[in-house]
Amino acid sequence: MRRRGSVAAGQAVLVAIAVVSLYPVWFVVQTALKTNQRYTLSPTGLPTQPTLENLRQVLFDLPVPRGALNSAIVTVASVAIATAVAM
Amino acid sequence: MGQRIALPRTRALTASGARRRRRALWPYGFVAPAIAVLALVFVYPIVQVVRYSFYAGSPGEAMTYVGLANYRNVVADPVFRHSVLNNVKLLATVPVMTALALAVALLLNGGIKGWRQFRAIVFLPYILPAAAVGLTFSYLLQRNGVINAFLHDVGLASLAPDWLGSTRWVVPSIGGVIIWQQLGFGVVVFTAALLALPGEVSEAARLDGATSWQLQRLILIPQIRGIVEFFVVLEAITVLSQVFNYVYVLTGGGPGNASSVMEFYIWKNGFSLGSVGVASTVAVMLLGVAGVLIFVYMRVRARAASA
Repeated sequence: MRRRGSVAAGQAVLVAIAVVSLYPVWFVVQTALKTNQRYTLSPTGLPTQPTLENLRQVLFDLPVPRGALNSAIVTVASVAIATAVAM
Repeated sequence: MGQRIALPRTRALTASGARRRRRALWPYGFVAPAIAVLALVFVYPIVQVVRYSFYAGSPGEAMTYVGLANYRNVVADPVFRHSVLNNVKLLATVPVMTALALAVALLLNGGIKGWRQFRAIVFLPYILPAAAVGLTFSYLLQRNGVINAFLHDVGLASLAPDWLGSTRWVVPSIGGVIIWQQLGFGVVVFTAALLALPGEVSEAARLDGATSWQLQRLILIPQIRGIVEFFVVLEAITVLSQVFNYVYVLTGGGPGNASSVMEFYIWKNGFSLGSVGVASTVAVMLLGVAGVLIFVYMRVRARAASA
């Protein structure tokens, strides 16, 4: 029979690992919603005035959609060819 | 064959005997296009790299034949030796990864509520692109980055070195990022292996009075030994030949050349310094080491499948 202490310790370890696994992803999302100045002021804090300006720049000013299309082409083509040749 | 029975040699026997003696060639025709593609994509580049390792310079300008001089010079180069040492140091992440993934998988196997969601959470880092992960961690691990800021706030400023800028901590930091990403894969693999085990063995052990710790150490882990070996070899290959992304994005080779690994040395010489001959030499060496590991991997995988 598992003692309650060891169950709690196990849960604590799992929670810790979950937090460590998720925090960098959360950090990226959080930073994406800040402007450069707000990030410099408070790198770790929650975005007090979330902004979609970065998203707008990425989608319309930078060649990122083209890059995404390139990635899609490469992925589909390589998976198709590799599967066909492997079979 | 038993006693010789005198049978008349009928036409049917002769015909089938003759057909069996002549090898059917048409199956090879079906395989030929695939083999041609593989030869072009696999064999030709490898042959070229081996060829280039005996020359100096880069294709495009004149390449001069230098025989084994590249090999001799590379082995004597301290930067190369340091790169190999870093690869070996990164190999130390493999036991840490394996032990941690095993511990988590055994915990999940105990039937905690929400274990499927937890498994998805811990697997998420594994599917993130390495360049994005490297970039994010370069922000987190800077001298005035997020992790150090947190440690300062909590009052543990003494535990806050310059993770990526000090020669002492840069390779362990890269190892930490690798563990962060690969742990999820290990957890998924080991959880699946544990789920596939027959429950009767564990029941019998419990009836015989085994404690949880004994059950895990003496019953469960030995049963998935093949899968564990498979994971260890796979991660060894990863740490040897798939860490260029992390090194390049996190440190660009580290302070000076402190975090250079073999792949980075190849890239630097081949693309940055233009000595494709030297790069090919190290590539051939890396191919040799990786080849040995892949051979071990294939043997271990066959045993894991029957584990």
